[in-house]
Amino acid sequence: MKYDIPILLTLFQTISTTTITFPAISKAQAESFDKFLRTVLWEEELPGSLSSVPFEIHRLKGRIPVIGGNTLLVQGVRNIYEMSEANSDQNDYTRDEEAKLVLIGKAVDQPAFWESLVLTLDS
Amino acid sequence: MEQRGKFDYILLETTGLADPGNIAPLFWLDDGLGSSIFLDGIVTLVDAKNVIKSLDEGYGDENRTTEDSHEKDHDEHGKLLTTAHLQISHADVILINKADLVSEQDLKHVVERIKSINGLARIETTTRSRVSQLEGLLLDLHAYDEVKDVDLEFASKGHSHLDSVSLG
Repeated sequence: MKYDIPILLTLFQTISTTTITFPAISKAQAESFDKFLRTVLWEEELPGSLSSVPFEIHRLKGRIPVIGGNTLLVQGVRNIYEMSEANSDQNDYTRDEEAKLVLIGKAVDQPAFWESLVLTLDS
Repeated sequence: MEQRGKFDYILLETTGLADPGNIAPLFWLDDGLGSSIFLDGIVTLVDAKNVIKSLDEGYGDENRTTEDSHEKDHDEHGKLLTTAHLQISHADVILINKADLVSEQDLKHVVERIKSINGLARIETTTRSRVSQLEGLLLDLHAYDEVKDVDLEFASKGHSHLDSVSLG
């Protein structure tokens, strides 16, 4: 599976906003995605034992289209997050809409973040 | 507190808090708990004239009490992590006040700086803390009701996408 992921390098910025873009996921991957969030937000670790620097997530928001299912909506403040499904009539997404996860915090722009997400989704 | 429908409205002003992110989750209660109190949104007021200085030098942080004051937090690049950073990063709405006291150029710089920290928040400028209307800006934010693609698209603008990577 191919992922086209923009690398956002906001060098030397204390707190920044990063957007990770990836393809729509399958229903089976939804659980992996939730696991990624739980690990990142509750254990403050990046799954996959990648080389990474300490990070803090202050806010997050995401829209993750699910193939054959409803789009997942996720938002969070610090370690509290909420995942819900858009109603099917709220699925204002086109066939080509990619998943977007926006993170605000410290060191959220490190490549290990999206590497870890990709690894978790592929597992 | 005045009753508004079946909800009370609590406006939490966090200027004195070094870390608003510690308080916000307390108000984020599960629908399933049948709570009548919910977090509508987080609003931060910044001063157009001082905010850059607050971000770069921790201006204003020296007044923190001894309970929450500590050595200035530097990240690995030697940059300060200030109260202003935390106030901005956690916000859903950021009001830049005293916009009339800075030049257009400086105001643009302030907006850009804030956007680079928090690309999701709605940013408005005010003069003398006057806003055109309360609904949607200070009250009834419904900041957590939905996640729209347009908001996320907006957040990813203004950042330098240096490269695209294909894996697999």
